[in-house]
Amino acid sequence: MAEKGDRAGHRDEGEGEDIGSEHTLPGAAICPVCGLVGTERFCGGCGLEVLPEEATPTWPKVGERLDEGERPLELTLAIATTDPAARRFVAVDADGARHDVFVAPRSASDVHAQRAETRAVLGEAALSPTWAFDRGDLRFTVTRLPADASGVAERLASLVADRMGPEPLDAVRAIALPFVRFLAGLHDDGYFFGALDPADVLVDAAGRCSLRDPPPIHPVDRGPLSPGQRLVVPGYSAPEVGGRGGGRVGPAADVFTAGAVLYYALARIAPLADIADPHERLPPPRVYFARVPPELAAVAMRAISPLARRRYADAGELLSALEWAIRETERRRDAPRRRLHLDIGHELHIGVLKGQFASVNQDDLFLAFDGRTGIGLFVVADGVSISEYGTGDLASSCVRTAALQTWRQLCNGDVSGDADTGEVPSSPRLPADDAGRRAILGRMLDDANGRIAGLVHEAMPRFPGPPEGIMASTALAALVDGDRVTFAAIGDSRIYLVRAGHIASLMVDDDFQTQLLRMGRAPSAARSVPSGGALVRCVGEFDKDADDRLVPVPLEPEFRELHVLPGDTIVMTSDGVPDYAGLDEEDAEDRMRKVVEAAPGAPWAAFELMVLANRGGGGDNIGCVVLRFGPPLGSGDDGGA
Amino acid sequence: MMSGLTLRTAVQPPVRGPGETSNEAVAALLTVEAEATAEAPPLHVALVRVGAGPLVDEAVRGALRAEDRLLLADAPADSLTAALATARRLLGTPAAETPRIARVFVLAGDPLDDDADRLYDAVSALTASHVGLDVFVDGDGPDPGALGRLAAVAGGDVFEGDAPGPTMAERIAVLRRQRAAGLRIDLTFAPGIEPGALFRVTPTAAFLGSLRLTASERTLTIDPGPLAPGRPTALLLTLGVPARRMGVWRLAQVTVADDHGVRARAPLVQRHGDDPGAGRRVAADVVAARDRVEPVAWLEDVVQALPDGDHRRVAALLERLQRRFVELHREEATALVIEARQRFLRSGRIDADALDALRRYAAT
Repeated sequence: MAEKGDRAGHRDEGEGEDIGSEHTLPGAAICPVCGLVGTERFCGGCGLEVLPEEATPTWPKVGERLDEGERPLELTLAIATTDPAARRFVAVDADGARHDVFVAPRSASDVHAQRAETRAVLGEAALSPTWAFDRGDLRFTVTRLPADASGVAERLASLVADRMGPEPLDAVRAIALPFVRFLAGLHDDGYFFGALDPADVLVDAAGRCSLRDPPPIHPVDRGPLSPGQRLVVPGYSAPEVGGRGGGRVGPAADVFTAGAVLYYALARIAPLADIADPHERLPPPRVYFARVPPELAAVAMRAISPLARRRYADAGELLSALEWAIRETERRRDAPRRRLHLDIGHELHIGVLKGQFASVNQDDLFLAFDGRTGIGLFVVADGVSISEYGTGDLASSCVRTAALQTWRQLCNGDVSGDADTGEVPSSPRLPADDAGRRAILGRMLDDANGRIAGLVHEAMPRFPGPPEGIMASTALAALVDGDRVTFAAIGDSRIYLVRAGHIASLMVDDDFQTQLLRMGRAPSAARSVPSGGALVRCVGEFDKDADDRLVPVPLEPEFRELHVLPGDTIVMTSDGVPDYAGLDEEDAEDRMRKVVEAAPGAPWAAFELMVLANRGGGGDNIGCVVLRFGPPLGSGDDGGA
Repeated sequence: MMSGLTLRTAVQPPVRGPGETSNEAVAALLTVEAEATAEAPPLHVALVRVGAGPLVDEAVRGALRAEDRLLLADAPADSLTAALATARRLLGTPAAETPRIARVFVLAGDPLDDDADRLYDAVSALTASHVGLDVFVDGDGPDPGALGRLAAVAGGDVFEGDAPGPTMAERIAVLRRQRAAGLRIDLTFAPGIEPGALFRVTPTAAFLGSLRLTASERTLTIDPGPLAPGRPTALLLTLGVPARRMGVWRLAQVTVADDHGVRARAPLVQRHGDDPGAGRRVAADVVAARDRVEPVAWLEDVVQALPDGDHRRVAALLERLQRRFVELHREEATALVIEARQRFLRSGRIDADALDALRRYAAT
């Protein structure tokens, strides 16, 4: 029953009387929002709870002093806790030492029992409470935080602040590896967290992890958790924790959290809420930080897959992969120089669907390899379809021609190898330093750029329109010297490293989206921008001079060096393969990896990649080069992959 | 208050900051499940045939028991409206103290000719009489998609196939396990709350309609369909919630009742408060339910966009469907939508069989 108070909403100044008591029934309450008087739990007028079923605890507030217990504390920060019926704070004492304060009603036996259960399972890995006291109906549990330990999230934050600090391998060893080991131990014991906050995991100087606040743990053998009310950790929780993908949470959710820690340790960025997008994975960490080793990037990307079934099954598997990636990175860094056997494959195809609409293949390739020296030049070019003047195939052919010219120059001039003249091509030679090799590839791309300008200039000495979008091509180049490869890339064609069950993209797409990401935009914002996939750099960039002549602009390709190992396979491909090889980019890369690893040789691998792209629709031209590095002939080294 | 039922509610987001207004609609999940201890009332089935074709009754008779009743008839015209009127006459109106589970099975093999408004009124009259409807489509005539929407409003489903007998028998078994007859869910919304769309999540996903209230009439009644132990009915509704001060707010009162009274009740509650975890608490069950029903709505959008020639919208919806099926690990549905999408990109058309198959996959 509810009735409106006669003076609902009014209280004359200076009057201290309780209006309600004059007009309401015993046990009734006046709604403070609409003034209705009622005897039920919720106001009949607006729905506000006016007579709670249980008394609301009087929670402490930030700034409050706690004088009970061993030493006085001041609450400095309120933080979220898994159970909505509890509260959690950070407090400091007079010496500046930090403490964790957990507050829950004394009657909340479930909450206290869950924490005790977690502590029992984790043992020393869970910090023990220092003291506890009761105040009214609330129990306060205080845990002193060790001075020599810092949280995983804190350590990641310090990396963001000091981006040029420790080397990626050192950062991974200091932050991600202990965290993964900690989770692997728990999974080995038959439990998982599901929604662990890395801020609650402390790492001491010896690399041991401990938990400052024990979240619920769940037995693995009871199967995944059904969806219910959960606390999501932004930037670290898997999509299924928030209900996506069916909402069932298992050990793969912990793998995701660990993968996120690894990703941020490599990329050196603040946690991204978009990591929980169930459809799009984060961009490769190299977008944010150039010196990311490929194996570590591959492990991180698999661990943070939005789909649980694509990740490592548990933290033990992730730990094995991470330790492998660390070993391979060290091996790649420390391996002695030597000539490796090189198996080469390539394919060029118009695309079964693309060919129905456009009869000219706009992809092009160049391959040259000198078996005596182990030096080779490999180029893939993808002409841009939309051109104000000319065609994409003309543009990509300019890249190929520039590559041919570059190879001739490496071989000491224009050597035709004409059998009639009896001349023998000279062996190619390369500068010893990386800068020199980069310069060769840079000049090659600038030469291609100039050739495009020359083509346009032949027909139109004075170019009337704007210098953008005239004629362009992407370009990938690999300059091989034994076990050293220098890569150059401009545009959105891809170079992958396939090794031991992993695939990693070695370069970054030169599109608008990548620019926005590097400017700090969230991935979801960058993706939603119209024409986000438009290229911002490619071969075919010009200015105009005062006479309206096209002037080639010096190009700024991305460079990278890689010390290849036996067992490495490099795949250079236009986007016609990754765009059509699978259900999404991640699935496409995984299928590409499987095809490459299953193929008995590089030519077979290239062919199967072409078939894969056509089976997926073949909606774009296909151009790919596969370089498979094997052990030096007669060495007996299987590559150790 | 009798029980025999459990009612669970969840609201997403469960907690919001005080004063917070989100552009994302609030969603609520209601789950009703019958407990195994209650007794099953007798089953009355009216099997009405529309158009030519065999009258399948042997399989149905074999599934019924002595206390059940099977009533057979041919519809006087090739319309579902006529079939439903015939069925209602057959079933009659039982005395209030006589519990029963009443069901209409319509067997349709030829194209149907119905006035949409009269048909909707006929289905609504069934619902008001606590009679459920299942449609068995045999042949190429009726549009299963349209029939599915109607059947869902009456708490039922559409079944396709040349031999409906075994399917009917299975359906009888499901209804046999039903523990509550004439059940209805009443939703009384608090002032300021605007309901949006209503979906059934389980046992099959279906769009049940957009909800409309007036200032004076704030209660909606929904038929949950057959309820049996282990076979709950879950409903998802979207709500518009205004910015609010701190407190615990009831968005709606949910009451499950039948002719004998209230069986269960619970409020839909959302907290606006100073919980530091406010923005991080998630009702994952509600999110999962929404993910499950959205493909149904998207497919209806495809059906509407196709005749309009809005190819861009159709392509975008198909891509969205593909992503969702991949996310939910629905391999067959994924393969189907990929094939439909590729065909559409090449030809600009999706054939009716593919569309119906997608609807079935989206619903199950």
